[in-house]
Amino acid sequence: MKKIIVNIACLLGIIVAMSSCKKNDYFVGGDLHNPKINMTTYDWMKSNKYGVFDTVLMLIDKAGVKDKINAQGVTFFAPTDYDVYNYVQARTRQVQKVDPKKMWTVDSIMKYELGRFADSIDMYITKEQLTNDKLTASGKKYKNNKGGNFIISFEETRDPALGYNENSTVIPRVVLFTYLYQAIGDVFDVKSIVPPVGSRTLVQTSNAQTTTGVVHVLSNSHVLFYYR
Amino acid sequence: MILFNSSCSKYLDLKPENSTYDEVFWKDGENVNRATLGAYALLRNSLRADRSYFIFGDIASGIVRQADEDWNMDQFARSGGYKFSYAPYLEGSLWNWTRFYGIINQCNLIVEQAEAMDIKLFDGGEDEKKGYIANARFLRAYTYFYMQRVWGDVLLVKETFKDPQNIPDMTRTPEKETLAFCKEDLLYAIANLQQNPTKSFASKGAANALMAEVCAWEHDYINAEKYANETLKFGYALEDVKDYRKIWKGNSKESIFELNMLYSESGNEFTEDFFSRFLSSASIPGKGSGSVWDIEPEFLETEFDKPEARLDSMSMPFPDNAALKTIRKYDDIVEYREGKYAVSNNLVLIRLADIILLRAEAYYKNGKTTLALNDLNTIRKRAGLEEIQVSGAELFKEIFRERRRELIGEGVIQFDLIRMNMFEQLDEYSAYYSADRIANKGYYWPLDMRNLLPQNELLTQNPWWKNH
Repeated sequence: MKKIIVNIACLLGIIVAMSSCKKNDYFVGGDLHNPKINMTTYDWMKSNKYGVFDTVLMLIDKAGVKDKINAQGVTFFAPTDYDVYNYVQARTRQVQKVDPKKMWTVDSIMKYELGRFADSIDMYITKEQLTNDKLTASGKKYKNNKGGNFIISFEETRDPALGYNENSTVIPRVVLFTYLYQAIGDVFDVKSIVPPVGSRTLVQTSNAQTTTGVVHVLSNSHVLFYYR
Repeated sequence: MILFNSSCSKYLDLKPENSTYDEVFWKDGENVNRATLGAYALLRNSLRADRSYFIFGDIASGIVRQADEDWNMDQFARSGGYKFSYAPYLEGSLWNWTRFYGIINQCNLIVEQAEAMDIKLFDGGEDEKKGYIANARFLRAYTYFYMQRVWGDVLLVKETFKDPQNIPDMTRTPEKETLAFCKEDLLYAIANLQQNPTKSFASKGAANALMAEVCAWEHDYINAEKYANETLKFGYALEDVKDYRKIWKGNSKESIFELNMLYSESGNEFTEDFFSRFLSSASIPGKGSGSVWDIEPEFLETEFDKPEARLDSMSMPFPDNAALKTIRKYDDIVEYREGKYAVSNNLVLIRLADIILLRAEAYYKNGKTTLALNDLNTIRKRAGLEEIQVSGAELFKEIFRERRRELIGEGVIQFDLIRMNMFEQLDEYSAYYSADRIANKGYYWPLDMRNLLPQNELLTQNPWWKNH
């Protein structure tokens, strides 16, 4: 009897030892996440399970600029519905300075501003595949399709809300999209750029590589087209 | 056996080894100096606790907006209608005055012990001895006056307790008595302090300025005017608006009294996270945008409606939003270790612009409106605004509005609101401060009765917060 128990214990031990070996990948870290997505940029945005792009995509459809974001080999900095909301809020505040009863809504954009929308969406598109492995901490300047400049950088953050922990030596990194209102030279300190020189927006989801290009999703606190 | 016996006697210490006690400590001037430095350190830590200095002065007056992640400040800030009775996790600093009694006790100790010491024990003789006592009495007056302005009536403890085991219960002291005690201390300080060049210690000028503030608080504007004028005789001067931020870099010509918090390799007066609440990632790389206090947007839009050089100098737009502005009065950053940023600025408690505006207020109350307008325009000119011509109640209101623009982010505006009684004059306060609330002194902070009452059974809550 004793022998059997010992044998069973041994067997169990071996099984445990073997099974714990298997998932080593999980313990060493590494990148199991696959940034490649087998869809076009437009379809990927449409497939978002929370629907955070549906208003943006509706505007894109109405303005007829689907081809712009689905063009081959571009990078698209995608605004979300929240950014559109921030825009109509800011726009409403502006029109209410003249007439307190007026509102500016998504319908107003569709009625009066589709041309402007079609034109301005170019500020979020560049003809280069900016995947995260090409980005640096100090940032590099690129031209957007509208002819203006922006800087994209991959910076360390010490914000606990973004995953920083004092007890860890690994410092999380985030992508920042710095839109430039003013022309600046080639030597710059991207961290210290503030309006009126430029505006720095956090990228909340970066490095999505679709079949047509790269998508970086902008933060929900961004105001569409940097409306002021 | 022999070994045991011999080692035994060494364990029987007759004196405490690593802490000091009265009989050996109060033996020379150098040690009194150490005790004084200790009192300053206690004041520094008390004002800094949970950033309460800025919460009491700026967040509570609704001109600075709390950060997104400060969910526990939503109720007592402008967003919650200044409901001071809800401050989760901050009760220990916002409702509890115990830390300030540490300063009071230290000052009482210095006054009593130094008083009893022989002059020969001080290298500098009589002057040095009186200097220490004057410093302690100045700090004691500052502390009581500060507590009075935050929580209302205090428990006035005038001397150290002889028997710490049996501290008698006591009722709260009427404001008049507390302030009379402060003024007595300040008169001694004015007579015995030197006018030293370092602003981080009490001076004759600082004592006069504090005296002016105490008098104004009591609405004794005749004396407020007198002491403000005395203060101005000590050669302070306004910084040019170009160098506006020099005021907080230590020992500026405009500063009258400040607490040292500059970075030094060996010192521990600086902090990483006291002033840094005002700064965005543009000043401190990698800082999260959810932890930034900014100028309340509506206040910014209505009160800073004209372009002014002062605003450009003391504020900075948010990195991702040009409409929001942060305060950059304290933005001298030192990266002292990789990724660790110290803010190397001093906390200026009293400065010239403050006293000039206080004098304007006193002039107005004393019927000297031309002089009041002059003082107001002095500050406006420095700020890069054009001079104005106003009179009557409008002038008084304008002085207050100028104080808000000038002294934002310096922890004083709530006390100006109370002193100048502006709650009913301005829309942003009148909606939340009913006549009932003002009558019951709902502008003071409540006390943490759960923790304080067991220590003193005669303590009473501020009337408004008994049932609000």
